Amino acid sequence: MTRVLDILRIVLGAILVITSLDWFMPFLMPFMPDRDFADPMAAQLVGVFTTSGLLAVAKFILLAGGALLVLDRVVPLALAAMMPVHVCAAHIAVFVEGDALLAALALALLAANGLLMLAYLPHYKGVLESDRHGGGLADGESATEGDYYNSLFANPFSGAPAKSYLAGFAVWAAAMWFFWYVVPFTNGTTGMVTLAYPGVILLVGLVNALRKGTAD
Amino acid sequence: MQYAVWFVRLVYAGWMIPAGLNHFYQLYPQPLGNQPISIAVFTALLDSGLFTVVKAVELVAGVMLLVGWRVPLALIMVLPVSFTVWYWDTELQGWWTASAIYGWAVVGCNVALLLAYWDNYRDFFTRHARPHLPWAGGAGDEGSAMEAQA
Repeated sequence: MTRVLDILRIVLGAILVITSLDWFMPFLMPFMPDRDFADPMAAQLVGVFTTSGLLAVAKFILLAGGALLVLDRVVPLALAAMMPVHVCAAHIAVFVEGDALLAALALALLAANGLLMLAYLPHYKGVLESDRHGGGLADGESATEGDYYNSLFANPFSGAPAKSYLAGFAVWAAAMWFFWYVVPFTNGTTGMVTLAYPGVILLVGLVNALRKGTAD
Repeated sequence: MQYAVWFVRLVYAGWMIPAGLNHFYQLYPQPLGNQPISIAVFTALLDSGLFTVVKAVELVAGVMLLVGWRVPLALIMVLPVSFTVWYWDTELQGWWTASAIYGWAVVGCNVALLLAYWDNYRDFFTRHARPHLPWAGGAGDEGSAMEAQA
């Protein structure tokens, strides 16, 4: 099975390198067919992406990612980086252009990328974990209640000590201040309304901590 | 250090959730851009339906950050959106405009939080990773991610 997956990796990488190189340097491969979009919306979208330089960014990601696949270097990173590009390409091919052959090709590339990501699943464990810390501890956090985000801002029943809530409230107030004084227009107001949620969680958690302290 | 991370996380979530929600339920007028190319990109994204995908990712990732659910996944998921916002705000709108400040702020928060959760992304950089489908069985000879890295 590993050999089949290795072949898939090399074939996918080679396709991406060749098609991306053809986009950047079409004179290298004059035999490659040019693609014209039939749907006006698809043509406009790709035209605008080309003019703005966004398509060059996408093609560069595919070129670099494809090369990494062929060379078998940092493959999990390459696959993760290329996935959003393939999702956008599939969206354009299926929902905007609607051409059966193009849609099939785009979906095949997306499926190959997805299948290879499944094959490298253990390397994505760090981003797929879900625990009481919210999937991982950030720099400076510890697993002690009150010392990581979720124990203060997400779970009011974490059992964090009351003094931890003072620090939590200070950070929350700083964020509210930022939206009030620094962020202009409605963005400031909507940011403050959004932060009402962790504010309520903090308040309920603090009341719980104080009640627990009194009971003890 | 964790207080700085919490601050950035709250600010980022407080920014992303309304920005994502605004596409589905208007809270404020959506900035369309003020340069011909930025307006063209925005219009094309909107008309093609890709803007809905972008805004859904923004909204979902923002909620994940706020409620503390699979935070490293949310940060990596929203990175292409942050990059595109940064590109639109700087390269397309102009490097010395008010838009550019927003662009740098969005991508800066995303990158800062990615760095704060760096340990979760270490396995992405395994030089010679060995593939193995989860349903294929016989994982014993494949080794762990860390073994492959050694």
